[in-house]
Amino acid sequence: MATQQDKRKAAAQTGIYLTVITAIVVLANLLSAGAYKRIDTTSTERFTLSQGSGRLVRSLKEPLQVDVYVKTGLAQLDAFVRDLTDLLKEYERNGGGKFKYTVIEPNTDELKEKAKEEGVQEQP
Amino acid sequence: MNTLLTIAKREFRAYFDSPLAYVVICLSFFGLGLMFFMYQGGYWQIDRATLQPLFEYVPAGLAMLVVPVVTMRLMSEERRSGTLEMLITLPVKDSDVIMGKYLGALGLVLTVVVASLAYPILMFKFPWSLGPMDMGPVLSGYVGLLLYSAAAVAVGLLVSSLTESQAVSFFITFFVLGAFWFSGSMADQMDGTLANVLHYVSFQSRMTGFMRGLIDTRDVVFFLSITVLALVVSFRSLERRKWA
Repeated sequence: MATQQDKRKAAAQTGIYLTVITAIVVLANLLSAGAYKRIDTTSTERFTLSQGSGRLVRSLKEPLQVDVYVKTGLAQLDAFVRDLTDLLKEYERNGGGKFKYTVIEPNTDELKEKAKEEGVQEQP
Repeated sequence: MNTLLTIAKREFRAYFDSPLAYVVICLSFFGLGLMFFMYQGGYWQIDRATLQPLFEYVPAGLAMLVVPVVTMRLMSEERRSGTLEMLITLPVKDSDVIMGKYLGALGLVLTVVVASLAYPILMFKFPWSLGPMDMGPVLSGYVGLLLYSAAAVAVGLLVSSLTESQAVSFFITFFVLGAFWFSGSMADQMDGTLANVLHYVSFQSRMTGFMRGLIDTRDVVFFLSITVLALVVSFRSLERRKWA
């Protein structure tokens, strides 16, 4: 039979072991957050900005806010909105904090009014 | 190593000795087909050659049902029927027991995942050709599914190693994987630090890149971390008998 002391020793060992492993895992995640790589597997390189766009968005001097008015609810439209958001995210990532975007779905009268003011035509 | 493979093989075969494997595989595919082709107009409404919906439903289905069902009996059953004592007094290492059972269960889950390859092959290669398909995102989607299944099964094994009851194991795994999955959508409704944390740990947010065709090393590291952590903890929970 294991004595009380043995038990305590085994428990302590487990505790230390788990702490060390957790620390290693957290460290690995922190390191990977610092030095990461993204592999774009799409044939059209959808997640990579062209050289021109990349240079343009990186050289922004003033903050740029893009408001996107979208309509969702249909599978076809949703897929389009997803693609658009992916692209905008890419711009944001490259923009060094200068490029910001908001996706707006004008479903209240207030938002509809605002969209009209900004020159967006309502689509049926 | 040899004992490990023996245990893995035995576990894997045990699924096919009972109706479990057949029920799981058949019903998963019935559900998947229904979701893929019917849900909100399904595949046809998107009107483009993509399998993105497939990668949205497979992990959700796996998280909700397949993984909990497959992993619930792994350790619980041994513990309840008292065969665990026998198993660990045999000249096998604890790590072999854990890894063997893990690989056996992962084998069944990956059978479901690999079988879903029938979708891209039948729809875009032969006999039907529904449009020019970009195979890149399919590849990255399957890389993501592989990593995701590895992590989910490890979590299921961990939960199973903590309880004697299969039902409890099922519901806890179901809940944990569901919470990890939906924490992403929950985070979309909030902002601040909590939202960032929820996004960080969400399996769904982590899968988004993979299913669109983007392999990010951060997501790979995340899924591997969860796998390793869950396996280590379940290994230690087997050791618990030495001191508890």
